[in-house]
Amino acid sequence: MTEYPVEILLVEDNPGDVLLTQKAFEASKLLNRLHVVGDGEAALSFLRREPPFEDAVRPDLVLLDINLPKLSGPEVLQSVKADPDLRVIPVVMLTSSDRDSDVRQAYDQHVNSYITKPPSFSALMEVIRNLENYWFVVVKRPPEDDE
Amino acid sequence: MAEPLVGTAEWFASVLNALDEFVLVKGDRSKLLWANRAFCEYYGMDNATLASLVDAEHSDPDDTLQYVRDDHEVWTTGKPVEVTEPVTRHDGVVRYYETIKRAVRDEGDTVLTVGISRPAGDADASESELSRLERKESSEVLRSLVATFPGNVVVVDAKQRIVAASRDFAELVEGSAESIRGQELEALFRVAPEQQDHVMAAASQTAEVSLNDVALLGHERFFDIRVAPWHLPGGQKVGMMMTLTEVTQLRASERRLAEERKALQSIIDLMEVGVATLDEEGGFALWNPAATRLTGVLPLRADIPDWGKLFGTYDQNGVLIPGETLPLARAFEGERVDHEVLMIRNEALGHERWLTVSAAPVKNVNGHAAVAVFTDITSRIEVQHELEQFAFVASHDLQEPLRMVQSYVGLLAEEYGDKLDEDAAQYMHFALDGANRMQNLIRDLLVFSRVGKRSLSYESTNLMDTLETVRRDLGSTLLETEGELHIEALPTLVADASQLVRLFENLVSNGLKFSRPGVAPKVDIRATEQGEYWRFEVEDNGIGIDPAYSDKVFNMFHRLNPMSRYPGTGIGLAICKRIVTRHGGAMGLGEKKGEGSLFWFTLPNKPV
Repeated sequence: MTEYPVEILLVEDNPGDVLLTQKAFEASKLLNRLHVVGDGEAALSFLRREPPFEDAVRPDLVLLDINLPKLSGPEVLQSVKADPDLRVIPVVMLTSSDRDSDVRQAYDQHVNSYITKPPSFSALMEVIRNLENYWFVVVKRPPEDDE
Repeated sequence: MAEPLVGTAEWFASVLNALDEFVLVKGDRSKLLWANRAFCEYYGMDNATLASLVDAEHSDPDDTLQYVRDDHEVWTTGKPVEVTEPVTRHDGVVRYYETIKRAVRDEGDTVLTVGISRPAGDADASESELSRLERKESSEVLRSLVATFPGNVVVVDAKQRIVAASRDFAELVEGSAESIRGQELEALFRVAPEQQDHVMAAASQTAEVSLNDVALLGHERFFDIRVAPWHLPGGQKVGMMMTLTEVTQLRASERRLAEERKALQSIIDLMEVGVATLDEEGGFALWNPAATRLTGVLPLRADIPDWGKLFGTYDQNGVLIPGETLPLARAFEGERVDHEVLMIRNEALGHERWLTVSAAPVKNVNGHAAVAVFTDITSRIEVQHELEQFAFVASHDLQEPLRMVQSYVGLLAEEYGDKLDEDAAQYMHFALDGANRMQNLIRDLLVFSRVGKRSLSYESTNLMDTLETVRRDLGSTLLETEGELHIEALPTLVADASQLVRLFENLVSNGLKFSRPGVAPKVDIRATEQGEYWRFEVEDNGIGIDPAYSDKVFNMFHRLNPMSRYPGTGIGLAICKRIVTRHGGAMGLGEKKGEGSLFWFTLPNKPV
């Protein structure tokens, strides 16, 4: 059990999907804070705490879409997993694509897991519940560094 | 009348003309140069006429033979000859004469023969007559022998009058062996003037001569003629033997063959299909204009290993096909190739071209050992690619906005459901339902297009394992419906394993889904070997399909039952059929005894 809210970074450009995901997390029993950025470049800036995200908090989980403006999901993934500081952060691909090639490429680039966005809201809720349960209850996440 | 001067030609002529005895002066080969008055009167001709012929029409050819023989003896030996010989008078009466023939020589060579004849005594005459008759008899024997010769044979004397002929020849000239005796050959066997010269030239030879394609006028018949001189034992040529072989049919066949060959060549030159053959050494024997057009290349003397680079042949994955693997090369090694698709790209063509090629080895046709035919299917392939592209992209990109509709209508229903009246609730229900169905349709469309998009990856597939996977995948459905799946022994085939899983899963799933209310579904699967194919049957005990719809049922999205009772997009069977036809098989609805459906399909029994 965490005392602090769980910090989640959602990298998603579709406002419709953003709202759905926000609503799904709002309904959660887990205390959480959802941060949203709309393109790949912003995602990296947020993670690196570069301007305008100097005060950004380090997320406990990143939800990453594939089709993003500026830098694509796979490009963000590659950068994150190449960075010794950032690569410990669990990244979950959350995308509409179910193409074998996309799945293979993501895992090839060391994504922690890959989820296809379900068609209905209720199904999405179920996915988010499972996600939370897995990553924040079942699984041990990397410990915080002493800053 | 003035008396000719002594010693002049006229004086000598008058002296000889005064005699009652015959005086004949001849040159080489019994050619009569001059005869005296006595002979001319007897024979019934003047000198001018006599000079132009060897013998009168009224004389007997057999007698001719004899005196020709005698003349020859005198000429060659230089010694005089005394004979008792028959001479035919102008009215046809034969009288016997005693003749002395002498040679006139000049420096050792004979230049003339002179014969002097006086009437023979009765004794001599009858003796001569006897021997003449004997000679005649042997002539008759000879004639009867020749008459029996097979084929067209004719013997003529020096004047080309017929001495003897075979029955066949007599028939040929529409006479009988007897009736044509003595007739001039020229009169009976009429040939064109140009060819007549050749025949005459052949007649004067002393060696054997062959004449080809001599046409018998008025009959449109052609003969090859062998002319052989007839020499008596002494060496004198007394006539000719001709053998005539009819070549009419032969020439007609040859002509027909040549025409057929020309016609065939035109067809090969004009057709739109590329045709190529290899000779026994592996070089190109035939390469028609269409072949050059389709490949952009004239291969001339290219060796098989160089073909890949020369033509620029690629398989469906864009990999260069080496020369030895090309259909024509494999046919050269004895393999039959059926409708293989390959792509050609080279500088001469400029653009890509897709061809379908069939090839086979050739036996017993001289000069050809293998043949290949190929046609351009570029537009077909391009259309296919575009369609597949379109289907894939469309369905993939359609899913995104649809997901929005589904999610938010769903949210609406959840968050505001209690604030809505009955009508509004129903509207939302139908909206959501529509969105859900569209999502299923798009998903199935994607599956359908994926089935066609990838090239099949063939591997040895044990169908018993395939059905185990199906049984596992449908485990919960089997439990829910209390359904049963019976599988008779299934073979191992070369096929695309994942697509066969999908094929059987669709069929079994249908069998479990379309069950009769209250009746537990039962699905049976069996296979029988039929020559080059395996035939499979998937049978269920469900609601069945009206035979009237047996064709439509394989169409995309075709549904036969109301949505509420049997949900589904109706694409399952279309997908099944597509998988089967891509493997080279066929599929259909079979006859079923009792309630339920029977689906049959065939898959080729490819060698592993």
